[in-house]
Order: sequence, then C-alpha cells, then structure tokens
Amino acid sequence: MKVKICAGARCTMNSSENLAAAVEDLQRDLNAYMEKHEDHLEEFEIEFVNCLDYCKEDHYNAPVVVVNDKPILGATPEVLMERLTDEVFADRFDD
Amino acid sequence: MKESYIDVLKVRRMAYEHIARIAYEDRPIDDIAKEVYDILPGEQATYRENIFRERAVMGERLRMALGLDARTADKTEAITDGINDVDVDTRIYNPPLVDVIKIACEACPENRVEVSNMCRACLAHPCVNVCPKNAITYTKNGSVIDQNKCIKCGKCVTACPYNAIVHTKRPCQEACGVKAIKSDEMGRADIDSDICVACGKCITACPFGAIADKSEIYQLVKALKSDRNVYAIVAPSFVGQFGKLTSPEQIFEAIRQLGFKDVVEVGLGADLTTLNEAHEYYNQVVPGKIPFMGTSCCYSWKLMIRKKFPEINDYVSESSTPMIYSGQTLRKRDPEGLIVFIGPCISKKLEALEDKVHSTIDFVITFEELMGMFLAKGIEPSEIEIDKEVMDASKTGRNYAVSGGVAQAVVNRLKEIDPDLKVDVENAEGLADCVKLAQLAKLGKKDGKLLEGMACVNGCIGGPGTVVSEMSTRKAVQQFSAKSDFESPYDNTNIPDEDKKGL
Repeated sequence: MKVKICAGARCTMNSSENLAAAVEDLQRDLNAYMEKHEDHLEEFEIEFVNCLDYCKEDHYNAPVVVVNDKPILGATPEVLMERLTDEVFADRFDD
Repeated sequence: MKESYIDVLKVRRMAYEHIARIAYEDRPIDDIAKEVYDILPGEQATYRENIFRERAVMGERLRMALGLDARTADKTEAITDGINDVDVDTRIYNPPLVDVIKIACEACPENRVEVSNMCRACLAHPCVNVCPKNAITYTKNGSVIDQNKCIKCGKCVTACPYNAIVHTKRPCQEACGVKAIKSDEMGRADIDSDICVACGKCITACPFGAIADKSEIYQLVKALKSDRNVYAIVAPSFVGQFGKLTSPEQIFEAIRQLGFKDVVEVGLGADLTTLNEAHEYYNQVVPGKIPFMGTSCCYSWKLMIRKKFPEINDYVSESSTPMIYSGQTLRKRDPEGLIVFIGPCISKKLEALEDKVHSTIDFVITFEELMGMFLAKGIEPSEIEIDKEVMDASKTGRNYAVSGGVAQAVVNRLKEIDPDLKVDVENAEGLADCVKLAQLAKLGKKDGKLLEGMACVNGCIGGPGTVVSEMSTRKAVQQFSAKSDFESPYDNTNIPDEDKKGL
C-alpha cells in the first residue's frame, strides 16, 4: 500500500519524517502479529514526495500524507496509523 | 523522544518563522503583538488550558526569539515593552542563553514516589514490607508514603501487584547532565546559569515547551538586508535536515537565496581542527607532556570541564573549534564580511560570545531557525535547480557530525603522521556520560588516551537545534562523507598551504 509523505519544507518542519517513523513502527508491529498468526498482509510502501501545495491553501494542512490517493491533512501519527490499519484490514471485513 | 513532541516542536518553530517574516517583510517590530493572534487565532486554546495563557506564553517565546529575556507574571508589561532596543542588525543577546519561560512551567514534582488512586489497600500490602526505610504506612484508604523518609529506591513500585505506585521525575531535571536545574519558590524549574553549559537538552525534554533559548534571527535578517556581505558556515550535520528529497547542494543554494553571499561547510574548519589536534596529541600526549587530551569541538563539553573540573582544563585540546577555523578562513577571504554559523547546536551561541570568538563569528542560528527563515521567505529547498557542487571538506571532516567521528578523524590523521602509533580512544556521548568520563580522567584513569566528549547523544546529529531525527541524519551524513574528493584533511585543497604548515 502506497503511503506518500510530503517532504516539502513546511511538512518537514512539522515533523513529517516522524510520520514515516510511525509507519515503520506500525509495520514492525503488524509483521510480528501476522507472523504469530501465520498470516500475511499487504506491506506499506513509503514514498517521500515534493510539496503537494496543500500548505499553500492553509498552513495547518501540513504535514500531508496521501494514503491510497486520499490525502490526510494536518496528519498526526495516531490518525495516520489508525487510517492505515483500517485500510490494510478493510478487505477482510467487506461482507 | 524529541521527534514525538510534535506540538512542542510546532509551537517553537512557528515562533521562528513568524519573527523571520516580520524582519523579511520590513514590518515594524511592534507587530509581534499582532503576530501572537496570527499564530494562535480564535477564542479557543489549542495547546494549553486557555487561550490567554497560550498567547501570553507565545508572546514571551517571541520575545526570546528576538533575543530578550523571558519575563515572569509580575512583570507583564506590554509584549512590545523594551522591544526597540533589539531592532538592530547586530548581535544583541546576553546570557542567560537558556531559560525557563516561567509562565509556561507547570512546576512538575521533582523526583517523587507516589501512591496513585489505583491502590486497593490490599491485605498483603507488599509496598510497606519491602520499604528499606519503613517510609510507608498502611491505612484502610490505601498506602501513604512519608516523603521525608522516602529515598526513591523504587522497591515499592516493583512490589505492588496493581502498578499503583509511580516514580515520577521532572523531565527537564532528568535531562540535565550537570544537574543545573533546581526549583524556585513556586516550585517551578530554575536554571542555575553558573552550572548550566547550554547543551539544550532541557529545552527538548520539557513536555510543556517551557524552556527556550534566545535567538537572533531577527537581527540576522536585518543584517542580510543591509549592504554588508553575509556568509554562512554550515555545520556537518546539515545534510538531510531540510527534507528527505533535498540535496546538500540545494540546501546551500536555498541559503544563498535567503540573502547570503556565500556558504561554506564547517567541515572545512573541522579539517583544520583535525590537523591541529593530531599535531597537538603527537607533540603533547605521546612524549608525555600532558597525561591525556580531550577533544575541543563540543563547546558544552569544554565548558563543563572548565566549570566542573578546572584541574584538567589544560588537557583539553587548545585547537580551535571547527566553527572558529571556518570563520577565520572566511574572514581572510573577506575581512569586512559578516559570518553566520548555522548548526544543530545551542551552546555555539554561547561560544560566540567569548572574547576570542566574538570578532570571528557574528551570528549563530540553528537548523530549526534556518528552516523558519526558509518558510518566512517562501523558499522550497527541494525544488531548487542547481548543479554547483559542494566540496569544502574531507571525508573525515564531514563525519564530525556523528559521535566518534571527531576522534576517528584525529586517529586517521595520526596514522598518516606515524603509521606505527597506537592511539587509545574513548568516547562519551550525552552530558552525564561526559561528566563521568571527565571525573575518571581527573583521577588519572584515562592517561594516554584521546577523549572525545559530545554533550549530545549520537553527537551533533542529536543536537537540540536539529529538524529531523538523528537516525535519518546519520545515513545522510555517511553518504555525503563518502562523496568527498578528499580522503584526508591534509588533501583538502580549500585549506591554504600556509595553514597546513608544520601540521
């Protein structure tokens, strides 16, 4: 699953790299959980991208993360991790 | 830890950006009164319990960012009080450099073991039975600790089956390696500036963002707007600080776009420090003229030894720091220019106030402050197109940013001088470790050694003025180091031959 993290100046200042660390942490936790249950999940794929211009509209939009083409504005680690766990488990609860 | 304090970082960095913006836009300095509302709009608080206190704290933060002292609640004149004195284009701040914003301090309890309301007043009450000081009384409402008797050993904490007893510590005090933080009469943190060595650890450790250092970005921007030539010297940990996709070359160009005439790596000065320290070690420690040698580049480490262990002060290398050598090199190229050190470090602001350094370094700012300036001027470093290469420093000079890098550079140089020489190195990272190392050195337990002291864990990449985590900078520094054309500092063609003479 693609996780695009903005590496522009304002997002970097507002700790966007810390969001990448949160995703890596979550990945480790999920991997450990999946290994224990002999299961497998789609892995996160972090990509740093140049400024997406959301911060030009409003400073409070930084940091920006895009998950499955949907942007999270003013992202925090807890919101991002919740979103990622929801997405990664989504197909299991389809019906 | 620092990286996860997101809101604390945000509040601090916003202050820098807004101060820089006032200066760049040539607005009256009095505008900080309006700026507080711009930074913290609306009627509801975002970061503290109410908007009034939040704005008051931001006001003091902005004043410190202008180089003024933070005020206490009994002296709340207008936020603009005395502000015109700092509306200049030269360095103006005075010690103390690091101080508590008293109106933001929550007076956290100092080192205490307390019984929480999770206590079930159990029949077994092991907390009472394990206490070596008989400090705990069992009552039907729960256990009670006599704070006068408690020695904070923590035995009751482990013994309680309900995790009902907690050992709380004051974060700023815990972070301070020289124990400079006491309490004032209201129980708030109070920094003893006679002991403090301005490492900045308390600034990043306080969960309320209640400790700050003074800044001079306002005056720097004014200097950049004057007709003088202003040069930036940038510490080796700069790589990777301004976004994952931003190259060192782009960072240099972004700095030029801020109004700097030119930018040079402090790694260049680091090369001179290496050459001088190796020379010094070879001529002083090897023949036994001095028992051991401490490295000279970390100012907090040097200051700690000067204040706490004056007996061994003479055994710290006399070589200048990379900041000073870089400044001197640039000063030769343009005697009239202004020189600005940009780094991860807060104590460099104090070093620059020293008599010998004052005329070499005109301003000191951190990477965080520089980031604020980029944003204030709307510069996006990652999108700059530039093909000009950065090549001021050798491989080992660029590695000064990482703990162990300084000593390694000196050892490598010593091997060039005398391939058979065995150099015994010991490193300390973090101020508390530095104190231990200095203590042992004083007792004669480190004789013959080269002692590298770094007040920040991981070295400069872990400095309080960094923007990103040391993990990511470490990689970036290694890659940048490998790209240098100069294996040894002696090969560095940017250093004039006269400066290498005899080394």
